[in-house]
Amino acid sequence: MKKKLLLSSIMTISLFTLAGCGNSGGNSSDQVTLYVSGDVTEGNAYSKMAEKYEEETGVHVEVTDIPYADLTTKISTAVQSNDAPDVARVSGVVPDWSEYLMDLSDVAEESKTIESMTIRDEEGNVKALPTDVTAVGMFINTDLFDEAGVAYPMSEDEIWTWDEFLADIEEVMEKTDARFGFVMDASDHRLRAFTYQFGGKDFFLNEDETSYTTDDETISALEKFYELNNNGVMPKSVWTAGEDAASMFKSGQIPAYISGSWQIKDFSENIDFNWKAVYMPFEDVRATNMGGNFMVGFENSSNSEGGKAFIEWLYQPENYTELATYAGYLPALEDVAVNYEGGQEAYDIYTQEIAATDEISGKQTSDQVTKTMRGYTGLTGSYRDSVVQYLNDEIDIDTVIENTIKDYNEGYLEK
Amino acid sequence: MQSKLKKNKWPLIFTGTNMILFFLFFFLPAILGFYYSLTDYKGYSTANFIGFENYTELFQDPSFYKAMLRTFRYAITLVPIVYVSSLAIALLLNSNYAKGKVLGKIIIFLPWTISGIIAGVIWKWLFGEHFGFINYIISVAGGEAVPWFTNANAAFAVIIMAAVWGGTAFNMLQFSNALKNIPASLYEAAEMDGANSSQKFWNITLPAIKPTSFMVILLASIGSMKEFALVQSLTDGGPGTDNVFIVQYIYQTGFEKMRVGYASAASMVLFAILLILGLIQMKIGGNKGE
Repeated sequence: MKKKLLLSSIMTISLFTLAGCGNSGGNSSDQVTLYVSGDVTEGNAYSKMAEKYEEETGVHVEVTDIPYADLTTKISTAVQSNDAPDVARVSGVVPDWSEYLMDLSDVAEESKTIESMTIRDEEGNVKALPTDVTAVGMFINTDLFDEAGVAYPMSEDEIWTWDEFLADIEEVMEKTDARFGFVMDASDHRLRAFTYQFGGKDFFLNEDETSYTTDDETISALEKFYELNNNGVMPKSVWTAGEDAASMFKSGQIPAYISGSWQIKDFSENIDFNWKAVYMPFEDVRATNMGGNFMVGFENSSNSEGGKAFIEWLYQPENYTELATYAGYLPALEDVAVNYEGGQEAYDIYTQEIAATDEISGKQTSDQVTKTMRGYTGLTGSYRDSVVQYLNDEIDIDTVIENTIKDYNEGYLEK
Repeated sequence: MQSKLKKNKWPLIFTGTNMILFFLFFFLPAILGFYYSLTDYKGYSTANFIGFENYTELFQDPSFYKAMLRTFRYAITLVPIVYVSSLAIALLLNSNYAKGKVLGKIIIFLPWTISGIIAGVIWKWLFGEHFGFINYIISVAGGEAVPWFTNANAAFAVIIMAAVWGGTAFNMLQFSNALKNIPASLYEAAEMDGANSSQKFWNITLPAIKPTSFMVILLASIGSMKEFALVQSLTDGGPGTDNVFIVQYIYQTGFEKMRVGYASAASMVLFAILLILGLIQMKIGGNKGE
């Protein structure tokens, strides 16, 4: 009797366990699963939209927030085990999923997503829609500029050249207790905006498409960057030893900070000195660098139709505007204007900066996503790593170029 | 046979469960790691078998040697310092003349409760090159700010200090227990023979705590060869790549560059080194029965 009881208990537990291992989310038509990876603001924004969707349609959207570093692997595993989410908001697409991604061409066309950020496969079908646009930009501590009596650009007619900007921040450093002239996040994405402004195209495919290459302007810009890191205008420790650029700017002792639009929401709430987003300096051309995230839907999920319906709903201008307002997004739809809850002036500057920028901005980001989706390995971060080693005097500029071109060729030319 | 099995039922169940867990969570991942080291696995998609290509590339990679040498240098510097500091504090807290021993133990033990990542962040604030507390004190005192993180050796020194701070506590506790177990009669007899404190330390204390010393040195050596969290959060291997240790190198190649197969090969090399290190130390310091 005891044995029977034990056996039946074990079987019952096993049954429940096996049931738990199965497709646990989105297995009914009144539920959609959405994987998101973002900060609290973005997570909340998607949760609010999910609530609104349920109120309107009765369909529950299960929002699962997954750590950024784990999202790609989590989705790969889910796709391979036939347990894909219905919808996911991702920062890139890996080849593992590409054949399972649904065609979102009709949504892209109807909602007019920004073309340079819309990801298409080799047949031209849209496989990922941009959810938001991020752009590189500059913030200044206006208290320091005002204290030094140094003017900063208030309109597009007054934009600094790099020489003017460097002269002005020297003056701010002399007349205030500012410790450095400016800081920049240790990221190749930020560095690219800098090389574009000096007239370079950064790293690009050569004419006969046999190798990636660079140009003299990019090399000059990188040499200028080395000089600025070594002559005390920039703190070298940000790039070479991982010191946090945002914290340094927030300390109030740095006049200018090259970062991006994603900082506006945080700065609006957490900085206790006067600051502004300003137009970035230029040398030859005005440029920012655009990035962003993407929305994908899976054809092999348990409720892919429900997932598609949710995406269609989310990309209706009214709903998308609401999402962008909650999350502090620069809109990824052409005809959408957003009234933000804070930092409106800064968002306006970024919008104008994007409008005036050289067309190369954003191309490299979408190229990277598209190529990776098509089965190329992708970049391994050699550009940033090599620049860090260059600033630390471990390698010279020629090796930076050599390493970066090798990484681009291996990532995007060889399968 | 059946009665023998019946008699040993419970020991079999307990050891069997352990064997299964060992196989599932230790042996299998280790075998899988070795298998991946023979493939071009990227963390997704299929893993293609490429033989010993990863190992060949690894042994020609200057970054691997640089990381390995820096790790050896770290272990060789850290282990003696941790050994001396832990023993000195244990002796101090074990002394009959010391006051507030419990409070002392708690204060010294606190860093052990803090994770390596948090310890790194704390020390980063302390030694921050431009806005850190230590440089602030130095500048207030009229000195020149030290480039703690842009000078490779200064950054290495900060990592060592933070590691000693974090690693002393546990070892101090080991020594403290070992010191308590030394029979008081040995010291009394030595005193009667006219031995001074130094003679008592070298001839009674040190030999008596030999097994604990062996364990502390072995564990500290293995721990320092596997250091990751502290250096990752404190200097990110910087400046540049001057302080990238071997586990960080494995992490960077495996997860940032998505070369899981290659990183697995580096892990296997580290495993072999740790195994050899353990065997040598057991040969030198481990007596049978200790």
